Amino acid sequence: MAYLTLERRQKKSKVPARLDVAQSLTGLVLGLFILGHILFVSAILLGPEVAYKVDKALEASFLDPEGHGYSYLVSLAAFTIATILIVHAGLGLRKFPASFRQYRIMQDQIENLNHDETRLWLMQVVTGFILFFFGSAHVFAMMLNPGQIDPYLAAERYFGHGMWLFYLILLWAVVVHAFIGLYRVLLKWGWLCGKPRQARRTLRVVQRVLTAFYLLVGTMSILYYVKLGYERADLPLQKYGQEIQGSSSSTHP
Amino acid sequence: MNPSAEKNPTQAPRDLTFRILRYNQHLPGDKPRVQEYHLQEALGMTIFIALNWIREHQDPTLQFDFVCRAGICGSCGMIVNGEPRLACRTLTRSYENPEITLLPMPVFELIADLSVNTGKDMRRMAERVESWIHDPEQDKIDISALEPAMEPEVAEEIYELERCIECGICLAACGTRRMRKDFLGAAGFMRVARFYKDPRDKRTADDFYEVLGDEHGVFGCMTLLGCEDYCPKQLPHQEQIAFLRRKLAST
Repeated sequence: MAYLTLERRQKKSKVPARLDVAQSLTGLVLGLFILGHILFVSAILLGPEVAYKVDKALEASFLDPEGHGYSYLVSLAAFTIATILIVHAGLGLRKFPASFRQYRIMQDQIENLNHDETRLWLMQVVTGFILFFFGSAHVFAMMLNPGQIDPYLAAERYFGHGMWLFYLILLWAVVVHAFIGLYRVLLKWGWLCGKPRQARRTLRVVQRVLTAFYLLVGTMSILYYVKLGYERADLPLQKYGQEIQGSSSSTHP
Repeated sequence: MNPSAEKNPTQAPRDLTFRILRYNQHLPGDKPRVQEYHLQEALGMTIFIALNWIREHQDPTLQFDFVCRAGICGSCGMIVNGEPRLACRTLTRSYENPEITLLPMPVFELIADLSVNTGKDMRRMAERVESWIHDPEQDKIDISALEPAMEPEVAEEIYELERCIECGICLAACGTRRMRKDFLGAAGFMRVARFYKDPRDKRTADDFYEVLGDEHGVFGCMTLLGCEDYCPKQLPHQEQIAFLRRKLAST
């Protein structure tokens, strides 16, 4: 008697394994990207000059003899992020409740079970759903409008165009989603240091602290931009770069 | 004897109210309803003791399962105030509110009242993951000869995973399992991990992929961790599911 297993005619597909890995990897990349992105945006808290320098450095101005940088790099980065985002969203969709019945079961589970992680999962679904729209809109706007990244233009968008609410929703959804996601991806694959249970408790604390920190810094940056936009509302619209060039040319006629 | 005879001298015993789902589908015309029972709390009273007292003194028709009353047999899993627990391991005093609601565990076939058929699901699980040692050479093994010794660490690791009592609490606590009934769930993953680590089982990662490698298996797990947090035996579910996920993803 050999294996008691019945001979199977067909081997199982490896696709589910690949999809699972892809969902985690795309999530990991997006999560790490957002950690850096929000910090770079919050450079505005140190003033428009710092924000301008950060913007230019990210456009690789240090490689440009004229010091302007290459704004298409932003489009390129946005294109890459958009692609990863679409793949991640598509893969994440598989985990959504597929019917009202499934949704009701999860609601019931969350209401009855006093269980943090099950609630976290629902928050992932809700924030993920918001990011389908807000996240995509943001990356596509960035991709299709190169050269628009500038402290004053941003301030005009936040205040003059009334985009602050859009960014506020986007910020909260993305921060909550990213940190829950990063925490869960580490547990999912067991990429933990030390004893798993202790590591999980530590990670949960780190996740909460970082979420609070990023929400605070992000929200303050949005408020700063709104304030800057309000202060500049009556001034003619120009880039910060143009202003500093203008002022330097006036002092050296 | 009223269980309150064994009193806590410093505190007057509480009056407990049990709200219990009653339904026996085998009785013609029976409808699901919630029935209330009242009794006095006793020192060290568990839900299991309370249920037995109710059955003995108030309502002999109340159905629930138990065997060992010590958290070993895994029969008395039920939903206590929304959470899956073993009745015999749950003290009534752990609930501040003296009103305690008891429901049968979801996921499993209802027998009646609080009694569910976990055995049927566990049997199906064991067959599905082929919960036995697979060795193509097994007929050549001389069973009269002394078995080769196993490293104590390996034996201990297997024993740790073998502690599952099949109570079904991991499945009732699992949102994924509740939503998708074909999802294997933690008890099944634990069983696979146990055989994966057993050197006598000659199945390879590829063989285990055939058992678990899809959305009903390990790749369907959404890491809700209800299994990890509610397992009454504190089995390392999160660690083992992650282990299987890593192994099977790299096949």
